Amino acid sequence: MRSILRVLTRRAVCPNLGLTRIGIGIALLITLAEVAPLLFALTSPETVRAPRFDGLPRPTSTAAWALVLAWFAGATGLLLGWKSRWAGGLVLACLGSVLVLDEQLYSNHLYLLLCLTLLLTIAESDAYLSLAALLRGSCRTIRIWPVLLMKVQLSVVYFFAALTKLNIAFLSGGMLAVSLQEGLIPFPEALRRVEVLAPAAWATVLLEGYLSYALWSDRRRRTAVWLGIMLHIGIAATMGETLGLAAFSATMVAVYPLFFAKNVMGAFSPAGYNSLPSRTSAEMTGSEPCGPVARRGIEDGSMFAG
Amino acid sequence: MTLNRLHQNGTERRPGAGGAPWTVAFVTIYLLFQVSLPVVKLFEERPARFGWQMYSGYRTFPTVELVYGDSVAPVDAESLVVRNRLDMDFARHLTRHFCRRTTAEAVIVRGPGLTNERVVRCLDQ
Repeated sequence: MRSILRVLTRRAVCPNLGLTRIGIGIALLITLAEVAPLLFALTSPETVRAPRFDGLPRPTSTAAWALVLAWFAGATGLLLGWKSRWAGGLVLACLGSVLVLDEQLYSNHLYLLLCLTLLLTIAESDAYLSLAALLRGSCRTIRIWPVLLMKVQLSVVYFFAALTKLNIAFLSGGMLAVSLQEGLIPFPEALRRVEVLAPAAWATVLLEGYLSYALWSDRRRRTAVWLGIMLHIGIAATMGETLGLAAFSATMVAVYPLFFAKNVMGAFSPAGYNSLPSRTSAEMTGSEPCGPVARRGIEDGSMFAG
Repeated sequence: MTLNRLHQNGTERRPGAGGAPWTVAFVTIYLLFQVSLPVVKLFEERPARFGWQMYSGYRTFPTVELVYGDSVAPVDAESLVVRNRLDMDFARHLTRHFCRRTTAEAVIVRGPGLTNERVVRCLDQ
């Protein structure tokens, strides 16, 4: 219990979180481009509404604009790393509102973005590669537990995505036959056969299952990242709902850099030299003064890709 | 006092200990939620929401007919939804929509699937 507590209260230098924040900022903007037309369509009385709770009024055009602008401002703030706590809070409010407003607006990537934005907001994500870091220096330490949770989240998504595809509808290639119709790159008709689609379906399940654990392995990580990137490019390019799947792919790939942040994993071991004790005076003043421990991590490059 | 000295001599109380229970509580709840919810969703019809069940199943969009006295008129309900989500049960929303927006006496919703049929009298709505 004490060791768990020690891990959970550790702080560490993790510049890769800046990459994740930028990736999620981009994914939020892509998702906004997907959701905004749906939001405005909902303002028309002709369209069918599916509010999460009875009694929720139909959104007005003004409310839709306010939501879109707030989402844009929050996502841009996260992307640039400016006031990311406020920006994250704003985005969370927008995503929550959208999920409650109408069931038709739900998507798995919207829900995933909600989870990851929550963790990014807690994780002081503007500490690196951000406007804030440009102004006050980027040697701060951050809480590592939100970073660990983001990695766990990614594995959970891959694991259940693989597990729930273990059914005849998917493994026969039937789901792929339906889905590979309206993508950016048209799927050749000649290949739309069970001999091709069924093995492709099996490969997808195996790959998702592999990614759920291989990203944690030092030995398999690089292979897993390349396979994951190819999988997500393939999904976004060949399947319908291009914007949504591009957002999903960007969100998933945005978390990959965190698996390379060695010092974050190092915090699990007592010898995790790159991590710092919880809430030192540095944290209380709001900015880590690039102390010797943090500096050592930067100098030997151990917080970067291993 | 430098950061290292703080860490090494241990003379300074670690103020982080005060926030630890909240952190442990948050992490525990988050992990429990993120693992148990998809497990629960495994036992629902696929694809179910909040279960990371992307492309794990297919549901057809329900067909809708409006009842006016002795006549029945089919409507293209799919063109009136904002987005056809496979993980969503549209029947409840469609009946409410057509009862409010038309003078139909009842709405018949068939699907998803061959066995699901709901007849809703608009007076009850």
